[in-house]
Amino acid sequence: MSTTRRRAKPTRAGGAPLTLNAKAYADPLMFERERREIFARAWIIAGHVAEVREPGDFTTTNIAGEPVVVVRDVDGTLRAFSNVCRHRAAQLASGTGSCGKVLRCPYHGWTYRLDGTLAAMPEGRGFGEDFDRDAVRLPEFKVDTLGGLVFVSMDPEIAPLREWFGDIAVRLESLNIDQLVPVTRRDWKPREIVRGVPDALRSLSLDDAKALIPTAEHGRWYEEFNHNWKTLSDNYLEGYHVPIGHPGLLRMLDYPKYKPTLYERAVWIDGPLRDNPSRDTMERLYQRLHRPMPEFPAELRNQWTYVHLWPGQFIDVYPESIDIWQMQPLGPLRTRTCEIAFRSPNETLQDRFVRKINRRFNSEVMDEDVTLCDAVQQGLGSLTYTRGVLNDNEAAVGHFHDLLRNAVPGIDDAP
Amino acid sequence: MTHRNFGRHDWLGLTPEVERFGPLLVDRITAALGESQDALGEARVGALIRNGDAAAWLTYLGALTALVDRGSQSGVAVAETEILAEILRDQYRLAPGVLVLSETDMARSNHLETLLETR
Repeated sequence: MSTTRRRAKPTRAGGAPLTLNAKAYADPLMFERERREIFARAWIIAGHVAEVREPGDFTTTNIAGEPVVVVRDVDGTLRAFSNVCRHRAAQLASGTGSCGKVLRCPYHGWTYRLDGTLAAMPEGRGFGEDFDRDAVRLPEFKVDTLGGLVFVSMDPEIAPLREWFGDIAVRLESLNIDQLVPVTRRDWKPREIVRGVPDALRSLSLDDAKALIPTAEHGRWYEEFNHNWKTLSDNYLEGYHVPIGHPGLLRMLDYPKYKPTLYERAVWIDGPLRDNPSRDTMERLYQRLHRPMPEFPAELRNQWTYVHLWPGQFIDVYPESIDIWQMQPLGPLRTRTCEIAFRSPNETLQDRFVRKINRRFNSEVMDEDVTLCDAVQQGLGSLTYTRGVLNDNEAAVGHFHDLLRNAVPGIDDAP
Repeated sequence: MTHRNFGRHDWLGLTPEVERFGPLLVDRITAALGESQDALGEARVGALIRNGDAAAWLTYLGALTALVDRGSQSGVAVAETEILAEILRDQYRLAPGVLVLSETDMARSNHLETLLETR
């Protein structure tokens, strides 16, 4: 065996940390390694505890390309399985809901007990007497809950959830997400929006109100982007671009006080809101009307908080709602994001309206970010650019890149 | 969150194996028992599939389960009775994926599981 050690690429220039090698943002081999060595070895959010409260309740997600179903077994045990039928690979369950006492494949009807074992298959005698049906079971994954969220890991050797996330676990619990409820399509009622808005906006037409309503599938919003998942993540993790790229956000956030705190596998970013009224009508309306959910932690009431959980999970903590935004890499230059939003079960019409203003406002921020990420993704393909340097305000990006270097050795080594 | 609503016709997905093997097995078991075959014959299965519903299907499975009991108690047509019991056991295992089983059906299911475990 060779004892030659590969020399690690320098990660600092002068005093400034260096970004990741640009080649890592478009490399198909690196994409495959990231799926296996990062996403398949992490704890990934699968849903909210309320979605799997009763026996038979299930929720689904996708981890590292693996369809996953989390289901409450008849004995009350929470279990996570590959959501892939062992017969012809069809996905067993979709969305969220209750499957009763069994998971039944919609293709040929293979039927699994909620402990993952095969109960029976239609026309079972057609598989021959030697076919060992008792040996068929859905691969099972680790599952646990933290702060009202259900996490799954495909790695059988991974550390327990709380230990893996370390000190951020306590802060996650402080958000009281367990007391909130997922936002679903039924939460968006345009006529109520129009009726419930303050006088200043009563002129809003029904069509305009409907335009504020995003489409939701079982409480999840999916979007696909032509970016590497790390491009989107890098952008989320730093506020350095806010004054340039997001003028509206700069009016809302007290930028000099924007402060990231780094954890072992997480980042917590405090974004205090300004006291002064914005010049923009909608922003001013938000400032005037927003009030924290009763369940919301007092110390976060005057700020927007952004949380990153390794590898690609982001939590926007607003006083009136909490949104989870997850990366599901589909290819080196294709990423699906899954959003789950939570609101107070005691939400009033005013709160709902404020949440809608926030959603519209942050949709504009998202549009601005997509434009910026388009530009970055193009630039990362440059023949003349390999890596850049990071500002103090980009410390969370540097932290993220260090985690990537540790998780995928050689990620920086492309020529 | 949506709760699973079984489709009105989902139960039809259960029927092929019973339709394929049931009538022949029933003929042999009833013949061995010296019983009439008419009530459980092939035409009845076809009629159930064309015109029946989930409740009628479960009633039919109940009648077949009773036949399995009579066959196993009398000790005639042992192989045929065992095969029919296996097919019925699978029917009851598959059924919760397409319909709600009554306590009577659950008791029949448990009975067949026990019968096959102790054979």
